[in-house]
Amino acid sequence: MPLVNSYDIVTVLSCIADTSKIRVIAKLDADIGEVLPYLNATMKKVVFNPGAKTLTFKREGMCFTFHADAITATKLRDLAHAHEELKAMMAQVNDVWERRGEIKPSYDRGVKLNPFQIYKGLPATNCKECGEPSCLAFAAKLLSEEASILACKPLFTPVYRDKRITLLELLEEAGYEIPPEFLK
Amino acid sequence: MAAIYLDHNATTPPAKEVIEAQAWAMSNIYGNPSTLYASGSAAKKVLDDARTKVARLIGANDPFEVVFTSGGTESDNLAIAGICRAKAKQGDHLITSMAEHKAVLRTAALLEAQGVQVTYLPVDRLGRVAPDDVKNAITPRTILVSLMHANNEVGTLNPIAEIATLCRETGVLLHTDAVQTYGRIPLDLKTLGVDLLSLSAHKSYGPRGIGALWIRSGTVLSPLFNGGSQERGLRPGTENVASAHAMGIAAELAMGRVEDESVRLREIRDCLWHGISVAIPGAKAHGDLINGLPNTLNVSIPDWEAEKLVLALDSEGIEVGTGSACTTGQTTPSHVLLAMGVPPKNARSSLRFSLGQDNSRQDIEVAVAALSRICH
Repeated sequence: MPLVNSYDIVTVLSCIADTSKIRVIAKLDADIGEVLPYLNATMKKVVFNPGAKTLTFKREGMCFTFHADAITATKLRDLAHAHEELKAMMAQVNDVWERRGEIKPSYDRGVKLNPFQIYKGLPATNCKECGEPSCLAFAAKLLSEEASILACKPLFTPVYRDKRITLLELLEEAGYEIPPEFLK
Repeated sequence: MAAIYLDHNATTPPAKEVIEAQAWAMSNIYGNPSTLYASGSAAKKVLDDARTKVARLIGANDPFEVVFTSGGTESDNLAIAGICRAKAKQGDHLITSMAEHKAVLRTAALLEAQGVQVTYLPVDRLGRVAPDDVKNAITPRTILVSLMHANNEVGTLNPIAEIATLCRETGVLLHTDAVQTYGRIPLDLKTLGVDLLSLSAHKSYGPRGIGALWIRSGTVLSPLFNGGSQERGLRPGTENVASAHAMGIAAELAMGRVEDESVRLREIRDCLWHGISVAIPGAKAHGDLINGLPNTLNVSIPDWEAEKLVLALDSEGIEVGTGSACTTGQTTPSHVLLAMGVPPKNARSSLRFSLGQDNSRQDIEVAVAALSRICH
C-alpha cells in the first residue's frame, strides 16, 4: 500500500530570482519524515537535515525540498509542470518506502563542513565573547550544533557583514538550522 | 468543551464590545473622512475619537501623534524604513537586537541590502539588551535605535527608559515595538522617552488589521506608500474607520483593566510555572519571570519536540504556541532563545504559554495535568 496517496498544492508564488517561473508548496496526506533517511541513502547530491527533517536537492535548475508533511519546489515552468514533478516525487517516496527493508538508512548531511571552513567565516579575533577559548573552538561547537551562530556577537556588527552573509549561506547549504530572520 | 486558549501573545479573541463597535461603525459610519459633507465629517469624528482613546492609553500628549496603520508589522516597517530613508543624508547606521520580531529584523536586512549599516546587539540570558552595548554601538553615523519593549516569545522587558536617555544624549532616535505591552501593562510615553512606538490592536482584544505608530511631534519620516494625505501623509489610503473605532473601544476597555489584570495574570502564570516544574522535573523556564510580561511563560520540556507537544495538547483542547506565531510550522529553533544562549536542543523543545483575560486558575490546572499526562 503506498504511503502517500495524494498531495494538495497549497501555495503558488512567482520565483523571486526569475518571475517567469513559479514555486509551489504541496501538502502531503501522510508524514514522510521516516522515509527521508532512506531517500537520502538512495539519492546523490542531496542535503539532509535530520534535525529539521528536510532533504533538499537540485535538478535541471529547479530546487526541491522534502519536508515531513510537504514538498516545496522552485523554478517550475507552470502548474502543469509542478503536477508532473510532484507526481514523480510522490512515486519516488512510495517506491523507496516499499523497498526500505533492503536500504540502509543514511543520516549523512551530504555537504560536509570542517571547522576550518567555518573558521574562515568567523571574525578570527578569538575575542571569547561566545564563551569559547577561540574562534576555532567555536567553529567546532557550531558544527556539532552545541552552539548557535548568534553567540558570535562581532559577526553581527557592520564590520563583519559580508563574512556573516557568506557563513550563514554556507551553513544553510550544509543543512544547518539558521534562524530565517537572519538569512537574505 | 471549549478549548483553553493560552496563546494570547499570538493574538487575542476580540472583546464583545469590540465586535459590537466594529459592526456599529461598519453599519453606520460609511463616509470618507477626507470629505466635507455630513457622513464624511461623522467618519472623521469617529476616527479622531478613536485616535484620542489610543493616545490616552499610552499617555501621548497629542492624539495627532498617533498614525493608524494596518498593524504592528506595518508600524515597525514605517518607523524603521521611514526614518532611515528620511535621514539618509545624516547617517546610515541602524542599531537593533538579535531578539527582535521578524518585522524589525527583516526590515533591517532589507535596509542592509540597500547599503544601511546594521548592528544586531546581543541579549543576555534573560533576553535583555544592555544599555552599555547600545552606548558602545552608537557612532556619529547612527540615526536610529530600534529595540522591542517586551519580547513576544519570552516576555522579557528591555530597559527602554534607560536606553532612551542615552539616545537623547547622543541625538539618536529611538523606536520601540510595544505590540506586546500595549494594553497589557501600564504604558506611559513620558516615562519611556522613545521617539516612535509601534502598536497593534489584536494583541489586546481589539480587531485584526489595525494598529498604530506613535510618532513624537517634529520627527520626520518618509511614508512607505505613495498616495493621498491621510494620516498626515504618512499612511496614504482611505482610513479603516470601523477598525479604528473598534481599536479605540478596545483601548478604553484596557484603560480600566490593565493594572488589576496584570496582577491577576502574574499570579496564575506563576501557578502555571510552579505546576509544570513540579510535574516535569527538568523543565526550564526562559525569560524574566520577575520583571517581564505577567502573562508569558516560555518553557523547555526536556526530550520533547515542541511541535509534537503542541499537537498533543491541542488534541486535549489546550492551545499553546511554540516560539512566535510567525515561526509556527517551522522546526528551526527560535532565534530569540538562541540569542539568549539556550542550547539549540532546548530551544527546539520550548513551548510558549501566554495567558489572557478569559483564563482562570482552573484552566491552568487542566493545562498542567494534560501536559503531565502527555509527558509521562
